[in-house]
Amino acid sequence: MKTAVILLALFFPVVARAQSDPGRAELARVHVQVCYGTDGDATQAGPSAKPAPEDLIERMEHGGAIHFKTYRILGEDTQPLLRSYENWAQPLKPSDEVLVRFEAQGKPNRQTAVIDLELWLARKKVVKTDATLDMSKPLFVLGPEWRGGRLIIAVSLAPKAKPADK
Amino acid sequence: MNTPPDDTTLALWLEDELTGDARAAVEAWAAAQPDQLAARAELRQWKRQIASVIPAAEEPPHAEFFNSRIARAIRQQDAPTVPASRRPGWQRLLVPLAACAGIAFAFVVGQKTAHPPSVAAIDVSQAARALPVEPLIYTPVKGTHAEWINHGDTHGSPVIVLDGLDAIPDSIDLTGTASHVIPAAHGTATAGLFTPPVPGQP
Repeated sequence: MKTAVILLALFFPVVARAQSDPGRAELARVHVQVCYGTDGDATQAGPSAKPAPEDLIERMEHGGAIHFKTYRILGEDTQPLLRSYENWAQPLKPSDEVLVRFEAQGKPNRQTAVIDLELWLARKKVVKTDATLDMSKPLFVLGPEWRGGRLIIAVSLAPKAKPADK
Repeated sequence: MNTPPDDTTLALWLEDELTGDARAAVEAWAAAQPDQLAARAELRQWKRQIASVIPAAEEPPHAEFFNSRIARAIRQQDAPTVPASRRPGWQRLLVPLAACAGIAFAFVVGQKTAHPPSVAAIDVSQAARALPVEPLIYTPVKGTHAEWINHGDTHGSPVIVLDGLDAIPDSIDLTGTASHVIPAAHGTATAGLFTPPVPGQP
């Protein structure tokens, strides 16, 4: 009982601060997927990698910049886009080999949001850009080579979490 | 209390920040100090005036960065001009007439004093189109090159192609132990709870 009271006392200021700071308001959510594309043996991605859905493959290959025989999804993460703070997505938890940092630039509309976006690989920032994210069109980053293929990072906008999800 | 308080305590009392015994002690001393009482009254009046003008709470602005401002400036340039204010007809004609007369005068003078141009004329008609319309990409790692590919149609997604990156060693198991697990607390993570990997890195 005593421990619960102490934990409650420690936790309450954090909750109160989050509720009172409008800069922490959730504008939207950012969904990050890490895919593995290869022309060789797709099992190199590991047993827990899932086949990529057809619509995602179609979007990746649409312009011809990305083309592999096989695609696997290695991991994904969804994090809120905050009004005045940066946030991070860690799609390969617990590994921090791939991280995506993002920060809102202005007020998004229902379908798109302009964000300041950074991709970090192996704890180093490798690219920074200001991208317009769309609900239906992910931004793809054709990244580094790995096990005979390449990593593809897909970043897209996701709807805001419903209050019950929080 | 007959001894005057120190400067810090007096400043706190003037700002109504003292409480308890300390406040009572200074109040007792200040009762015989009309100038201090007047100073406190003046400060209180000043605070009331400020409070009546400044809102108690203010919404923070949405972040707006360099490119957003450029885009807004371009939109403002393209916006239709505001109609001129109503003036008498002869006043509205005065400016264009004066401008035409000036142009004609400059043309005549130029014809009489013209010399062949010594340098090639610079075509600036396309200058506005040189403004960046695609997102800026910055690659801090030396030897890395990024290319932005935007297909321009409604179906295609933008692609950033990174070249020159070091390959991730095959020995690293990216799928690790928790692939596809979206954290239960997603949607509540906030800045400050997640520390950037290596502060000071590019």
